[in-house]
Amino acid sequence: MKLEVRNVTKVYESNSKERTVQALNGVSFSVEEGSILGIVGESGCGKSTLSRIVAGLEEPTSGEVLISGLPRKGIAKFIRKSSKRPIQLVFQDPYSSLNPRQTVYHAIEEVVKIYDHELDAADTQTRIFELLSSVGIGKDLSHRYPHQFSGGQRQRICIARSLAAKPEILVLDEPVSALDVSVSADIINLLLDLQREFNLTYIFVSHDLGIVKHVSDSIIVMLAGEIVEFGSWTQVMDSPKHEYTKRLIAAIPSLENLKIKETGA
Amino acid sequence: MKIKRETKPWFYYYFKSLNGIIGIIILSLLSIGALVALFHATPYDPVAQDVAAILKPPSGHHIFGTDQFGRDIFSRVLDGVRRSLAVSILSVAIASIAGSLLGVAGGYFGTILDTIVTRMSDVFFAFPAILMALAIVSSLGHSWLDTAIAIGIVYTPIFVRVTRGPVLSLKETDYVKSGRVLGFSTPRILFKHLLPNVMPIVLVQIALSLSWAILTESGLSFLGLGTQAPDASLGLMVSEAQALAAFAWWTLAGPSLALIFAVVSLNLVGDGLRDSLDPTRRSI
Repeated sequence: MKLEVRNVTKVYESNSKERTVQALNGVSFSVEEGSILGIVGESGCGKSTLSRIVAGLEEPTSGEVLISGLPRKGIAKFIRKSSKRPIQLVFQDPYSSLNPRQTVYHAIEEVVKIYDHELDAADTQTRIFELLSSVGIGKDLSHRYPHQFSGGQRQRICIARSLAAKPEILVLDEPVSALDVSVSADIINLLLDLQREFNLTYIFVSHDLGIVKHVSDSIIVMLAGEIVEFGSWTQVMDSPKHEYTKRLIAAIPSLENLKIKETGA
Repeated sequence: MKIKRETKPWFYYYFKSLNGIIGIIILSLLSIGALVALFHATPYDPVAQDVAAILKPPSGHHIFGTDQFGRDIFSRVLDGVRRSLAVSILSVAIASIAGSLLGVAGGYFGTILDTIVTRMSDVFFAFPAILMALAIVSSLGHSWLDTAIAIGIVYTPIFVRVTRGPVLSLKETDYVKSGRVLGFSTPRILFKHLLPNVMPIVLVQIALSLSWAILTESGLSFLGLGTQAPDASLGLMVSEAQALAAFAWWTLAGPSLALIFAVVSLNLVGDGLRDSLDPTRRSI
């Protein structure tokens, strides 16, 4: 399933329409099925707005999002027409993206009941445990509440919940920036395994070029609501066209950089 | 395969709180008293006068004493508790259901609906509760049902405010947004994700409002618009006892104690419910 974003613009207006903020300005790109697109940029560059528009949480002011060549109107209209939600979103903050009053089991059950409504009770339970084990959460933990889990475990649960909707495209909006380094490495490896297993398409949004480098096939660099760089990872790394990209690349912490500094000093 | 539940039902946690236990015990005793009155099983007829036993202090025959007409205060207190509980429960049921639905809907959908709901609440808030209740009661009538409806209308805006605010912030949380991305219907988001998360606040408000409603009902009775003499009502008894309390303290003690116990127990039950219904407040 191919995703195409065409000339998307998003303008936020204050209530009195006196002040406007141009969050996105003519953004176009496309993602091939089964590939991982990284979107990098600083805070406020519009990458979260873009991920919300792609996921259908917000409508673009102009431009359109095409899925397999078909325009996608508002999420509500879309869901009424088809029972599938091919694009799912994993949120940045695993602490606020689960209902605190729902056990993990019920949180996933409620999604499974929408997308696998033909299953009987026993099969539903099997499906729930299958989803949980695919993200490495044992079934003995399934009757706990979200606050009884660590951030990494919660993010796994959120991923399992998204997978319950059988998506083809997963938008990951800074999925590891709220987690510490070792946990975030586990989550990224899990995401890469799942991508291969289910042939998913990822849109991986991050402010960390180091992580994006690790996961993506191609990357987009955004600055002030516009795409300043687009290409495969090697293209962008070897011949960055924009000054901002060069600065980003220089800012990646690495052993080589450290050595240069040490010898220089 | 059957999975052992690690989380116990909420009432397990309720009975771990001392406040909750004390509250439920007092409330149960009061409710039993109310049931006794409901089935006319009080020791004496609450309205029967006995000229031979006027203003007798508490004794084996009349454990709460008798009033200026020789009526048994204990029987009248039970009957008053019955009337007060009936009015307050019905009025709070009206207020909490109508207020929560309006508040949640207004907060979630915003726009015109929200404006209408909040402005209406503001108008209602502009009047003192007892004045508003007076106005409604005098246009509806004096039966206990009219009193309950009047108090219910007066307390509805409180529930609107108490639910609307949290919903405004909850609807922006990631778990509500993720529900929308996952394709949940609006009723599911409202009733499964928003309402349960405002319930603790609503419950505390219900407990408080029940006690306020008892007091408002007493106030209306005092002003001659609620329960009519010779029927017993805690408020009516307290106001009648005002003139007598200097030399017959028991006329005031019985109904006042019942009022205090009702108000305190409802607050304790509210606390216990809040602690047990919120998983994050449970210890372990």
